[in-house]
Formats: sequence, C-alpha cells, structure tokens
Amino acid sequence: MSIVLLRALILYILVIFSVRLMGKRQLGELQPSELVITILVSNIATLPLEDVNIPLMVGVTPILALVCFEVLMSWLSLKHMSVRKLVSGRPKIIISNGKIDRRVMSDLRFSVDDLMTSLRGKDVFRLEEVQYAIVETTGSVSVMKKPETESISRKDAKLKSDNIDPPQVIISDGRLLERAMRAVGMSMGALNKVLKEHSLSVEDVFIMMADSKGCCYIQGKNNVGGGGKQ
Amino acid sequence: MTRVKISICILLILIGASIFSGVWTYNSCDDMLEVLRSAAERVADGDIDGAIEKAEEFSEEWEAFRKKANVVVKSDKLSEAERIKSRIAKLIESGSDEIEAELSELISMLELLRDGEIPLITSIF
Repeated sequence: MSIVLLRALILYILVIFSVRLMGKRQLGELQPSELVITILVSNIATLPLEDVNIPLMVGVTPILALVCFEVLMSWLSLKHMSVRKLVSGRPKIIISNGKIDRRVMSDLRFSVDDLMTSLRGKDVFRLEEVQYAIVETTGSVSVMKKPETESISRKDAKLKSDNIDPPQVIISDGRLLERAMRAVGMSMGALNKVLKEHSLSVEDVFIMMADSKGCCYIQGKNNVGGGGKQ
Repeated sequence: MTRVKISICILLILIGASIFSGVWTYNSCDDMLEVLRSAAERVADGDIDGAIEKAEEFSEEWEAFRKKANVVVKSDKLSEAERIKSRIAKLIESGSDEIEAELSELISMLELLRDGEIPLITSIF
C-alpha cells in the first residue's frame, strides 16, 4: 500500500507540473488538441496507480512526452499561421449582418438548437439582436449585438470617469504583500495610519484590499473592519 | 519561451533515456543469452558441472539485471523468467528430461525481452 501511496504522490506532482508546463487556460477555452491531451494525461496517470506491476516510467514517459509535444506544437502554431490553421482550424462566422449562414452551420454540424443554446449562454434570447456571431476554434460562440440593442455605456451618456486599476490584496491572512502595496502606490505610513484607525495590526488582518485612489477594504480576523480611506 | 526550452530539454532527456534503456536491455539480454546457450550446449554434451556453473553465472547476471529492469520492463515478464530461472540449476543437478525444454523456453523469453525494446514497426504497432 505504501508503494501505491508513493506512486500517487509522484504522479500528483508530475500532473501538476505537466498542467503548469502547458500553461494557463480554463477548461472551456482549451483548443481541441489541448483538451485531448488533458484527458489523455489524466487517463495515463491512472495506469501505474491501478497496477503496481506496471513500471512508473510507463506512466511518466508518455505524460511528459505528450505535454512537451503540446507545448512545442503551441509554439509552432504561434510562429506559423499554417500550423495554427492545421491544428486548431479557423473561427467561422455563423451569423453575418444579422443573417444565419446555413452552409457554415452545416460544415460545423451545428444545429439550430446548438446555436440558440450558445446565444442564450451569452444572454441573447432574440436572433434579431445579433449582428455577428462567430464560432471560435474552441467551439464557443462569440456574439456581437446590433448597436441599438446594446446597453448604454458611460461613453454614450458622455459621463466622465477615471480609468483606475482594480484593487489589490495588500494583506492576506496576516501577511503583508509589499509588491501589491507598491503597485497601488500605498506607503507604509499610509498603511499604518489606516490600520491604526481600525485598531488593528498587520497580523490581526484577515484581508485588506486597496486601490490607487486610496479606497480600502479591511476585515480583521475577528470580523472587525469595513471600508476606509488612505 | 521558457516553457518551450523546458519542453525541449525534457524531450531530449526522454529520448536519451529511451535509447539508453533500449541499448542496455539489448546488451544485457545478449550477454545472458550467450551464457544460457553455453549452458544448453554443456547439458547436451553431458557436462553437468559446467552446465551448473553456467546456470549460476546466469543466475547472478539475471539478479543484477532484474533489479534494474524493473524500472522499464513490466514485472510479469520478469516474473515468468524468474520462475524458470529458479528451477534451472535444480533440473540440471537432477538430470531431468525437462531441462532442455526449460532452457529453450528461457532463451525464447529473453529473446522476446531483448527484441521488445527495439523500436521496430512491428513492436510499435
């Protein structure tokens, strides 16, 4: 049993390493080849776990090889359009100028139900609202609505707003994150002032977030805290 | 780019390790086959002491090979050969009729083991 346990640990580390090597993508954004490799890796990893007679190398070698091939293929796809077309295909315009292209739907084996499901996933319930819809290489559908059906933006209403970066976590579970603090332009003095206002020290804080405008949110480990100003 | 370099390094290591394991398995099996065939000849010639000596030599080489081969070869293949190997010396000593058949089987197994590591089209498919 200890052998199985050690193998599980080794394969866990290997799978994490492989996933990290392949890079960051959400499951829904994976290219077809990446999805296949991900599923293959998980299946191959179970082989040496299920049967201790199988050498560990029988699992390790194909996992590493497949992941490395995938990374190299991604790099080649990046460098050469022809490789990208071959491996991933091209996005296809399924609705153009408000009209559905039935030929493209037939090529993609996309039924009307599939199309409506994808549109509803983008909060579009009326076909007449759609100007363009594109089926991406991942299979997801990107939708551009007709301008008259889009929500009004601040720009349309001619309302001024400043462009600010999102708030950052400055303190996480009692630990100060200095890099984040510098990123929002907060000084140590300003931080201490805010903490003093809430009668907290760094170690007492569960989470503190701040933005470049000086708006803060603090919650202490004893549920003490709230919004604040720099 | 770092990922690409890491991938290339890993692939080169895997290729090197595959070639090394293939060559090592091939050479080790070849050496053991030579010893076994020599043992078979001595059995055929009636040289029991010589055959036992060769069987013991084979046993030592096999033990050293098996410990390392467990990393790259399925253990059921090794177990089968191990089972026959453990009987060889006793069969030679007792002058059993089965010895030639057992030796022949062991030789075939080692040949399969040796040839199984060569990346031929027939092995791949």
